[in-house]
Amino acid sequence: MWLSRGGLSDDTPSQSMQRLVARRQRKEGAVETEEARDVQGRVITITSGKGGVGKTTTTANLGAALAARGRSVVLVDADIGLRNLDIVLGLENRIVYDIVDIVEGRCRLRQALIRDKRLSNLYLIPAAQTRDKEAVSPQQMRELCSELRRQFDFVLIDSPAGIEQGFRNAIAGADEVLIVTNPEVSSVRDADRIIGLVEAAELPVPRLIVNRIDPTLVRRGDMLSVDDVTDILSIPLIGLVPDDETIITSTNRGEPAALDPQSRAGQAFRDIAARLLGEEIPLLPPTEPDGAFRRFLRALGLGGRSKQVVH
Amino acid sequence: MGWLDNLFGRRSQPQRSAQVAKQRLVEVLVQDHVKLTPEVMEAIRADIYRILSRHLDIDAERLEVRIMRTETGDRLVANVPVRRAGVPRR
Repeated sequence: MWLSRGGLSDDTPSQSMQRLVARRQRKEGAVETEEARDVQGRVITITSGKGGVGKTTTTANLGAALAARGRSVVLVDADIGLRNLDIVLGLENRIVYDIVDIVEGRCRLRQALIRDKRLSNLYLIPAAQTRDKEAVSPQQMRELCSELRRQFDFVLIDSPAGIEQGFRNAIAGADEVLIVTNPEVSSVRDADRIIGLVEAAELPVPRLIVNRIDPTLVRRGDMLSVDDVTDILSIPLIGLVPDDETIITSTNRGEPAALDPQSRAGQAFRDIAARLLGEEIPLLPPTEPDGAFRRFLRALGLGGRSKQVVH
Repeated sequence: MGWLDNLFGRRSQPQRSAQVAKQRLVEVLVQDHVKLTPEVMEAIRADIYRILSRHLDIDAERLEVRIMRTETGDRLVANVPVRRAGVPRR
């Protein structure tokens, strides 16, 4: 099937080695020094077409998971006018400069980089809140991405919803695209439209994250299964994320669920991060969480663990 | 297969909503891609019936024409039930 169309890992051993060498050559805390280090990081845009499917949550959690694995990561909020990545990460009080200030030359790049509270190698470039999508051009985005690529292993761009200029800006400097969808008709239809636009932009085939899967509904036949979604969209999968209330509680607190070892969705995002790093982790559809009886058995040391927590 | 479904009462149950969703999505996406309207589909169905019934006795009621999505692209699939007698009506 489509899995053979390039597989899950696009990181060849030699690429991993190059990155390793690049990281060794770099000095501790070199991000602050803004000198070109030629890391040749990857620029990955997270997009969806439809709003509210989990782009920002995905961006924040993949960033946190990659940073927790020791990669240097910058998250770029490209949703100008509807800034949100900052509040999801709990960094809303630290903003001085934003992406429009950078491209209009009001500040230097490093002045707009906000360092995460928890992870010293995770940074955010916030969106401007009082401007609109036309404040940045695709050419300016390409320039910004190529500058960031030299300084970070991963540049993750949180795309706005829609197919207009905001989306075009978000993919302008991208090397790869991840599409987030939910197992329901409108977001799958929009994802299909976005796939066409990504292909028209001559980017590689995007990879798919199916977010907010409710295993109980799928079992009852009342929610599109992962197979249904991939049959329809026929692009490779990179992640399956269960509908999980820890996303709501962690977002309430401004702490990515990917840093919570107990969170099922957080585990799913850590798995996606690992796949981005070239690890082969089986793509299993989420299963129903254990009921009270199973948890009781487990508390007694019987019945084993339902889902292994890595790291 | 059909009689098994009947035996277990599956026929009488409405289709699960996920199946409905999938079928509707496939159809709407093909329309988005190929710009194939339901009228054109009906015309194709009628043409297939007209041409094939010159040679075969076809059950027009159960003739199905659908667009399917496969890994290799979109595909028009016709399911043409032939009556046992096999003699075309003239």
